[in-house]
Amino acid sequence: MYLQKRFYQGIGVLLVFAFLCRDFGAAIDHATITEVVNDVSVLDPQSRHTTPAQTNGLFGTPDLMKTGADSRSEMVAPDQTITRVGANTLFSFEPKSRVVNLREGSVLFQSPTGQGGGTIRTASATASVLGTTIIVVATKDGGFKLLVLEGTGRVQMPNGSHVILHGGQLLFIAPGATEPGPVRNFLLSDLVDTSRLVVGFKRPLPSWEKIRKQILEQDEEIAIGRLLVPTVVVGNIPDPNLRISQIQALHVDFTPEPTPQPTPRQTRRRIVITSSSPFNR
Amino acid sequence: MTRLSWKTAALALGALAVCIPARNVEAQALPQVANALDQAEQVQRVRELQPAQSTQDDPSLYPGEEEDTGRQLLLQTAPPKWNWINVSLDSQYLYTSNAYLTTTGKKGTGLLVSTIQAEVDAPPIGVPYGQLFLQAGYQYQFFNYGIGGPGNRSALDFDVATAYVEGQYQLPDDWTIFGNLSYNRLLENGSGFDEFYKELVPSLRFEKTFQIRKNLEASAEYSGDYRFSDEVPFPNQSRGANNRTDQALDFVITWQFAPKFDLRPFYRFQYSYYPDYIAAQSRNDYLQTMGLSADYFINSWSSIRVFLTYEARNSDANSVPDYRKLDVGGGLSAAFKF
Repeated sequence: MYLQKRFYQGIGVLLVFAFLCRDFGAAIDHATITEVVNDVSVLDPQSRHTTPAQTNGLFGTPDLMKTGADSRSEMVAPDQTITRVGANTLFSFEPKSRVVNLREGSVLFQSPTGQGGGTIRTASATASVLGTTIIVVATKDGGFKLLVLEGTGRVQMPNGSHVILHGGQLLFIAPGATEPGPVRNFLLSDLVDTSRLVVGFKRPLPSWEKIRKQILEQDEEIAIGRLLVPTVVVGNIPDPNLRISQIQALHVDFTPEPTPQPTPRQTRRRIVITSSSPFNR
Repeated sequence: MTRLSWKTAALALGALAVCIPARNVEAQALPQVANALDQAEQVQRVRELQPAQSTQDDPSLYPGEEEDTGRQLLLQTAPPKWNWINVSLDSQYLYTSNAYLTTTGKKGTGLLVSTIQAEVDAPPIGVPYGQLFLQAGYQYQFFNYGIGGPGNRSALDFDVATAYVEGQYQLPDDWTIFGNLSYNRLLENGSGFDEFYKELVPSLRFEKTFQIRKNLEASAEYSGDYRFSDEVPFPNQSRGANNRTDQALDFVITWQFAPKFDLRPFYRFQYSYYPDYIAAQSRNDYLQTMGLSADYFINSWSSIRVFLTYEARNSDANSVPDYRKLDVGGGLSAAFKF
């Protein structure tokens, strides 16, 4: 009787352990190519054989996908995770995991909620998401950027430090830098309108409604003055859409994140009384 | 980026080419000082061009990136609305080992100190080398003895009403200079709030903070004041018998040993000089206070604390007892900004 009880207890512990150790999402090691624009090829790393990517074709480990100038491609994994690849990009899936290796270029990654999210690994940092739409940009020399379109993303540095970003925020690491730059807010509606990775494909992103909601939330922040759209006066006409590089070229005072509001120091005399004889001090 | 650099340089040269002749014509008509200002402005503009060529703030990692990702127009975060009104509430209960501040025959008792304070904080004013903060406020404190025993000490109860104005000059390298003018009144509690003492106190403080580690900070402070006092005098004393100057040194270490938890050991040495204490005799006091305070910040507007303080006073006046005392207690604070 005692042994039987111990046996069932053991089975119970094993089941709990198995539940805790289970993979919360299926691996993304292959996907169906759903759209190809211009020059997109699949490279077999062993044979060095390159074949043009075909719509409805399969792309999976250990192959590399390479896109040329003005080219892009979309893939859908069995769990409906979408990977959109931008121009001049080289990337691959990692076997038996939910990791995408981005060697250079840009990738939009959208993982449905509850499917285990995913990780985009680059030379200098990794970006992890759960049910989020993000764009990751990387260069061979270690440049990295994460743009969160909706949801929450996490950037992990090789030294273990991490930064959390929310919808409408970006973070970039300059090539050769070991520390990320500050988290900055970007105008989400403008980015989405002009992004080929978002609007440059035949079918809309399944997370489009979430992105739209995030845009509305950001618009609200702008409307109440919490976020400010920089405007530059060119020929007396304010141009809110002027590009960052142009703003910089015109050396307009543009500080993306102002220093925190200064506050007076708390005067210890008035509120923290640690003596019963205050008039000795 | 090379193209941008050339474009920027061309813009700069173009701007200078247009500006320089115009400024030369102006310079003939304007005083020399204006010319010098123009020169400085121009040098400043040229200097500002240089960081514009830096890639540090340019979010594009490579040419053509934004064609795929989309335009990345960075937004500024608006500074939060300035809070002009600051209302604080504080209550602390402590046991003091020497309620009467005597050398011998010490009587211990519980003491409840309740504080309410309202303050108007002006936004910072940019001044040379730093920022100036101006505040004005009113504080009222209730000192209630004997609560929780032992013994009935309510005869010692009093209230303190303080009106003050203060300026804080925040300087680089974590230096702060405080200038304060306070008007303090001591009121008898429970007997019609009669005023039995008042003083006007101009004071000056210099504080230097040292950030040792991310979670460890030390500060050293010198403060000096003069108290112009007024009270009903005892025999052989004038109304201003308690006129005095205090000169003090404070040392505080703040260690954030866990999120929301601070531990603060502190030490204070104070010298007080009473020029006309009794029968035209002066008085010199030496007061030392040391202790430890632990604070837990519940949220952005409230905190609780426990503390332990040891205090020793030595005086050269025969009528003033030297004393030692130990206070131990806890407190609760809340601050609201509007």
